[in-house]
Amino acid sequence: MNPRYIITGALLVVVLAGGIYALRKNQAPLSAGPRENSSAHSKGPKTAPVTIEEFSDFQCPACQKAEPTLKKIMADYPDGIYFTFRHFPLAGHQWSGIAHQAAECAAGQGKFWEFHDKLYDEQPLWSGSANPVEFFLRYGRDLGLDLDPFAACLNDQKIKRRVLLDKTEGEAMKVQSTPTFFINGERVVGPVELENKGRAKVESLLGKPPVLMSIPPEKTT
Amino acid sequence: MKQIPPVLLFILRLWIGLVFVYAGFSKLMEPVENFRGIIAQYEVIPYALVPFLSVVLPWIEFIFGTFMILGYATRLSALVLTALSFGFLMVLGSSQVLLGSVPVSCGCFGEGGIHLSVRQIFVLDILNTAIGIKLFSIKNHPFSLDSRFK
Repeated sequence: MNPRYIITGALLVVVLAGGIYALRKNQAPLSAGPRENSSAHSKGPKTAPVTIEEFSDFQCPACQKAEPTLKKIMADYPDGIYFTFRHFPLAGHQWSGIAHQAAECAAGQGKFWEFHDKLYDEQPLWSGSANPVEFFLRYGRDLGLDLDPFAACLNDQKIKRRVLLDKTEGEAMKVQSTPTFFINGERVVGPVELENKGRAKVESLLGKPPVLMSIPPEKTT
Repeated sequence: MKQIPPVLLFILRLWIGLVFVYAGFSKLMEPVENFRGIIAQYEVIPYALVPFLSVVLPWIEFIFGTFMILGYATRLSALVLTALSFGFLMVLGSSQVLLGSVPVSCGCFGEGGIHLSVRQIFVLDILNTAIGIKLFSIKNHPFSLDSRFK
C-alpha cells in the first residue's frame, strides 16, 4: 500500500481527534448538584452524605421504570440520601408540560409527592388520553386538593415558567434524556444505569444496605 | 446493469457520511454517560459491553463518516457504516420483537437534536444499509481522495 496513503489517513485521524478534543476543552464547565436557591422539591435530611438530583419527565416511560429502583434505594438508606426532583418535560411528549405544571399546582397545596406518585402510577392512562386535564382534576380530587384554585393554576404562566426554569438548568448541565440523575454530582442516565451504576455508587458511599431478616417465633410446647 | 451517475454516487456518499458525522459529533460533544444510559436501555445488548460501546461507537461514526465524505478508504468506510446501520437495525428489531418496545421515546437523540420516531429510525437505517452496500460494491469512487492516490 502507498505509504503516502497511510500517512494521509493517520493525519486525518489526528486532525479529527484533535478537533474534537479542542472543542470539548473549550466547552463551558458543567455545573452539577442541587442548588440551594432553586424551588425544587426535595426529601430526606439536608445534611445526608449522599445527594440524588433527578431530572425527569412525567410522560417518559423510562422515568416510570426508574421509580421502583429509586424508591428502593431511598428506602434502603432513609437517613443517608437527600433527594431532589427537577422538572424536565421533553419536547416530544405532548402532555408533559401540563403534567409538570399540574404537579407544581399540587405542590402549591402541599401535595407534590402524592401527585408525583399518582402521575407515574397512572402514566399510561393520562398520557394516552385526549384530555389529560380530566385525569389531573380527578387526581386532585382524590388527593383532597381544593379544585378551583388547582384548575386555575393549570393556566398560570408563573407556574409554567417555574417548570421551564428547571428544564433550562438541566439543559445547562447537558441533560439530554430522561431520567438523568446526579448522585453526588456524578451523572447516571436511564433506569438500567440507575439500577447498576447508580446503586453501586450509593453503596460505595453508604455501604451495603442492612439486610432485614425476620426471625421465626419460638415454638411453644 | 445501468451504472449510477458519478454525481449521484457522490451525493449518496455525502448523505451517509453526513448522517454518521452528525450522529458521532453530537455524541462526542455530550458527556459520555448520556449515550451510555441510552444504550444500556437496549436490553438485547449485554450490559458488560455498554461502557466500551458508549466510548467507541461515537468515534467510529465520526471518523468513518468523515472518511466517507472525503472518499478516503471509501470501501472500508462503506463496509463499517453498513455494519453499523445493519447492527442498529438488528438491535432495534430485536428490541421490538423480544421486548415489545424500543426505548427511544425519551429524548434519546437529544432535546436539542433531531427528533425521529421509531418508524423513521427504521427507515433511516434500512436506507443507510442499502446505500452502504451499494457504495461498497463500487471499486472506483468519483470525487474521492482514493482516486487521487490511484
